[in-house]
Amino acid sequence: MQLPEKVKKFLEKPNFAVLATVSPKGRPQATPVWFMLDGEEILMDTSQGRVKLRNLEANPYAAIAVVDKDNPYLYVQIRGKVRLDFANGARDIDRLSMRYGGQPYKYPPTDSPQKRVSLRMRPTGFSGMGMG
Amino acid sequence: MDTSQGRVKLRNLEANPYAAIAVVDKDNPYLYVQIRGEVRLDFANGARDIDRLSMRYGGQPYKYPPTDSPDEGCQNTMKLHRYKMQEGRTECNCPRR
Repeated sequence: MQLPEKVKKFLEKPNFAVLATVSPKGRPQATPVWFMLDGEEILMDTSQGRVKLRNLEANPYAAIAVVDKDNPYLYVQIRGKVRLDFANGARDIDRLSMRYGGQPYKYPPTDSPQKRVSLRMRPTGFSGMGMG
Repeated sequence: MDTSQGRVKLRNLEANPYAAIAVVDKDNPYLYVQIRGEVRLDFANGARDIDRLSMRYGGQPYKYPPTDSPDEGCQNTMKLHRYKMQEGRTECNCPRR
């Protein structure tokens, strides 16, 4: 599906998203992440060894909730299926870091470019509040 | 937390009571807590509890929109119990500030 223009407009603002994934045993996990709209997909990025990656390998269906930092009554939820891209993780974390921090990603000692994985969510549904 | 009958979250929790919340500091989005746990539904005290929550967030009892009502069984309280907590900075860290 294509997201409406007003939703895409809202996603341009660098709010954080909360990404929800589900483990093979049906236990949800929810963590804040950087995101950006890339064409029709929601682009996020994680590292090998993280719970969210393990969950998505077992079950690619996920949801994000983006709450406006200046008005928490304004939000969008997007549900979709996540494709893992092991080839462009390092490039994409730099793109996200530019959006949120204005500079390439600074790796902590526990992380490295080889470990980064891009998460590409293709929307299947959305809902929101306060979007007019 | 508190929700209403007919909402997807309630239907999901009736089928699978395991849930997670992520609370992000509105003044510093790199500060957050994730809590995972099992949710118990309390159909008796939903109207009371949405007012308690509304007092906390808005300083006044909950104002019901036309699609919602305090009628018995309509507002449900959800209480997380047996939770696990993970505190930290976000997955995608910015340069340390």
